[in-house]
Amino acid sequence: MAERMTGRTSPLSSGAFRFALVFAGVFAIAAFLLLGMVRHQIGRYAHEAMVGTLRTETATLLAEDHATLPGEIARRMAAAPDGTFQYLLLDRAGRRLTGRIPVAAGHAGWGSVWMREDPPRRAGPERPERLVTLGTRLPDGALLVVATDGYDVDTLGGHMIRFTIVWAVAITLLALVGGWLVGRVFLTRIAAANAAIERIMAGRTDQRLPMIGLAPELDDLARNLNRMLSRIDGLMEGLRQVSTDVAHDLRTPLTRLRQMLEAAREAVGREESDAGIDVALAQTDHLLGVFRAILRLAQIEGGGRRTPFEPIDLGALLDTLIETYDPVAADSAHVLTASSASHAVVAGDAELLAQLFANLIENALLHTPPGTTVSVDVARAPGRIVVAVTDDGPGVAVTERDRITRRFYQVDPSRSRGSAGLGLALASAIVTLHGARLAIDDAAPGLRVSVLFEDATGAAG
Amino acid sequence: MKLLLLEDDDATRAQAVRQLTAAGHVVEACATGSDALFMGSQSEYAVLILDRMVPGLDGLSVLKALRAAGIRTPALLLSAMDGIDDRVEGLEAGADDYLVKPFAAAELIARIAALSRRPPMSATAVTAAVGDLTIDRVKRSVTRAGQRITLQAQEYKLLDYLIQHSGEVVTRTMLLENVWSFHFDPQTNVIESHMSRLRAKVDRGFGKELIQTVRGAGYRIDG
Repeated sequence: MAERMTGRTSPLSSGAFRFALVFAGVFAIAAFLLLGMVRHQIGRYAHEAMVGTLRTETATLLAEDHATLPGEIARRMAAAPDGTFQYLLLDRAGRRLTGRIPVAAGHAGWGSVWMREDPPRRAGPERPERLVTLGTRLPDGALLVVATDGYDVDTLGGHMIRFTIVWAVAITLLALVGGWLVGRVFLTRIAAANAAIERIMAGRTDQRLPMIGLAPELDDLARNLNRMLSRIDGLMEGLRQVSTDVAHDLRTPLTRLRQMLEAAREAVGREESDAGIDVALAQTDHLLGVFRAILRLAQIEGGGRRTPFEPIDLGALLDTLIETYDPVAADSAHVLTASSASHAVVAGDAELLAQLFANLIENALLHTPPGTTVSVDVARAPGRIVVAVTDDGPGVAVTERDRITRRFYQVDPSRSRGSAGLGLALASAIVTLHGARLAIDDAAPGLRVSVLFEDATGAAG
Repeated sequence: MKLLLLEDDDATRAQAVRQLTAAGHVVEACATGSDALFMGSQSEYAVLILDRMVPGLDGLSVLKALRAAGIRTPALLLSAMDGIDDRVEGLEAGADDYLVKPFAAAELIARIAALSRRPPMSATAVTAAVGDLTIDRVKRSVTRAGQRITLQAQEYKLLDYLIQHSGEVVTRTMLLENVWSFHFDPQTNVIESHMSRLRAKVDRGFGKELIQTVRGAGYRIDG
């Protein structure tokens, strides 16, 4: 463990913070573009409004009688010396009749002029002001010039730039703080997951990752990782189980085998020694059978298969098995009956399913007294296919029922007839591999072992 | 018969050579895959017996290489792995039979006998006879001494398999695999139950018993 990826990473280098940074940048650029557009539009609108007021003011003055015009202008200037408008009235010869605008601006049409503020609008250094002028030639040759300042438009522009900068900075700061906060929360959650992983690596294989939260996809990730851990845990458990089984449950028969061989060596006469060796060989075969069963069980429980499942007609499969076991049942004075539903098709492995049902039928035949009826029934219910092996024998006590699927468990070892007690464990493993469920119930009287498959074909139509 | 045996374990190889020689075979044995590949491609054998797992070039690869070179000699794979996938993989590589270790000598000898005659004439013929027993594979009918015998489907299959290997020993495992497609050991006397019924129909009341029990090995039908 040279490098540990734990939760000590700074929030500033977290993914969430980096995202926030990128988003803040993009947002700032977008805000600048938007504000620039707004400023341009407002500027144009303000300019048009200014042009409009100049025209209106000119038109109002032109409506005055020619004789009273200078007086009217003077009156307006007096009423609002600081007002929106400045005026200039020149006679035909270009002499100033009234108004403050420099005579240089005295021409018809649009123009502009710089002039001092008088009186200054505010304290501080006096500064010249740029005015937009509109000159109109009167019928008698006189010239009326009305002017207004572009100040408001410029001020607005300045305000907007300041506003834009302040907000861009504020947004960026907010994004950074938010990113840092989210990053810190994120890292805290990830740190919890990392801590769990550390514990698992340290050998606590029962530990699982906590939900990360924040986003459903992260929880999905955690859930999937947990499923993966469970799977690995199961496989490890299987391996441990195999070693335990081999160590514990093969020791007794091996010891017995050794005793038989010793007895055979000490036997007097060829015949006795041959008989001893035959018994030892039979014991060896039994041992090999148990060993094979353990390996097969481990293989099935491990679930590592390369061949895909195929559609299997359970009705046909069971018909063949009934034919196979009919003579066996007859020989042990059992009655074997069967009923089957049509189109009971499941996805599975033909070999393993045959082993599963052969196992269940053999269990029923081996563990019930002569005269017992064993029936094998395939039934279809909505969404499921149930195969039940039922006997009307003495049954199994409730307390024993969930134990009989365990490895090497035998209800009555004296009646096991050399089976190692792996039959139902193997059946249970095959059932699980097929995504089915094994149910053991009281058939009153007797025992019913059912395998419940999901009916995928029925659901599809 | 001349056999090629690839087996890396010295003791197992020596034991197998002794048993096969005792059964009347000539065995050429080797311990490495490359030797087996060389020998298998250089001379004619009746059956190739290849251990699946040997260091270096393994039995499966040897078999694939030989099959790719067009050598169709019947091959028996020996393996300690008996998962379904393992067996399927072996058969797909071109093996004609697959035997899981450990096995009894009788099992190996019986399977070699079955393989060396492949394809058996009697398996492809429409009718076959053992003594006064005849089987018609088109009509699926069996007669003995001119008398029609009615058999259940599995009894017929069992008899047919025995006749295909008439004169040879067929083991219990061979019967389970080929007649019932069982690749596991049943806990009950499946074979004995069916065999006693078959014998009752085929052998009882006809004087000579055609189906023999071979102690410690299996069954044999003989005319």
